[in-house]
Amino acid sequence: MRQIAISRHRLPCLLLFFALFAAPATAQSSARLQINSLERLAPRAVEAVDVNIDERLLQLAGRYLSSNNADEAQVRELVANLNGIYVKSFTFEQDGEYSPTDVDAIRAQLRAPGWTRIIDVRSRRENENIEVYIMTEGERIGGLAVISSAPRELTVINIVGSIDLERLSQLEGNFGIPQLEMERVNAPTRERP
Amino acid sequence: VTTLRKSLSALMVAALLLTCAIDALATDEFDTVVRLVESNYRVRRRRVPFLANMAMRRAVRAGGVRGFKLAVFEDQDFSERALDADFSSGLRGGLRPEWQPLLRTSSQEGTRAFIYTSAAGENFKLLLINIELRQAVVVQIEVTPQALVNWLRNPDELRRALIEEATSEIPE
Repeated sequence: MRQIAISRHRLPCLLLFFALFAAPATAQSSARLQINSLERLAPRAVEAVDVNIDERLLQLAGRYLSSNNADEAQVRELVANLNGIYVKSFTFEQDGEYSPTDVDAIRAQLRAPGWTRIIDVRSRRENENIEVYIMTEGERIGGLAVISSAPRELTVINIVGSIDLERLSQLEGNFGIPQLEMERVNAPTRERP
Repeated sequence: VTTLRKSLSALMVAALLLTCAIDALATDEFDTVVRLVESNYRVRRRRVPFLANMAMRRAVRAGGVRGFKLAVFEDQDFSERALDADFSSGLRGGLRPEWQPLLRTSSQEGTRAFIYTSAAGENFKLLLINIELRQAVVVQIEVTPQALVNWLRNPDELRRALIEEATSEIPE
């Protein structure tokens, strides 16, 4: 009984602690998408790649990339504000190996408050469709998601942390992020997904 | 004085045993994965000759890599892809939470690769499992943060480099 009494006494303190410290963590993790549902596509793919680079590894990269080398310095500056890079990419032998419904679970997460689709982005590659979404938390960008789909390819990229679209190209070819060959067609325009 | 000496000896023995126990715990992951490969695909690892193993250790150390462990499964059957799902879930369940997945790839030609990372003091441990249709390799190495960061920028290159490093000096 005594233990219960102590626990009850500490409860308001615990609640206050969680209110103060858990809220920012939730905001940060809200940009992290659950993309594991795509794993079921792997057996059908000619090639499947799944990259998980968490905050710990990104911080390490921030510390050890050279600030003297221009290319490394650029990447170092970018990753300093990132909390995670998650990539799932599939290449198929023929058309129709995946359907739009395979990506529905991810699009559903991108309809949550905070996520906005940037509609003026397209791929320079023929027959490839690119959807880019950003998660904003107030004035700050909390994350980014890219769904790149072609008849025989599907790539989903989820970057957690502060990064804007203009700087995403600087990460292409690094940390498992493929070359996306995106271009903007107009002035920046956003719409709710 | 005799009692003190006995106590010190006992303390040293205890410290030695503790060090061995800690070392044994640290090696668990590699052994766990090797056993998982053996049980899941019903294969046996090939014993790499001691001298060849030493030669490989020297080679990888020269490349800035430490703490090298290798298990090779040669000329055995890994073609049953239906077993992959159990292996994958066994891997997730068998590794301690500090081992984080970094890269997972699979190809229709039958290559399946998994890379996990874990902090090891100032360095990092990397555990690679590369399975092909007729052979598999399990490699655990310890790398400096600088080496890991260089590889992080191209994780698949890391997989290729590890496989090449681990298998290039295995004698026929």
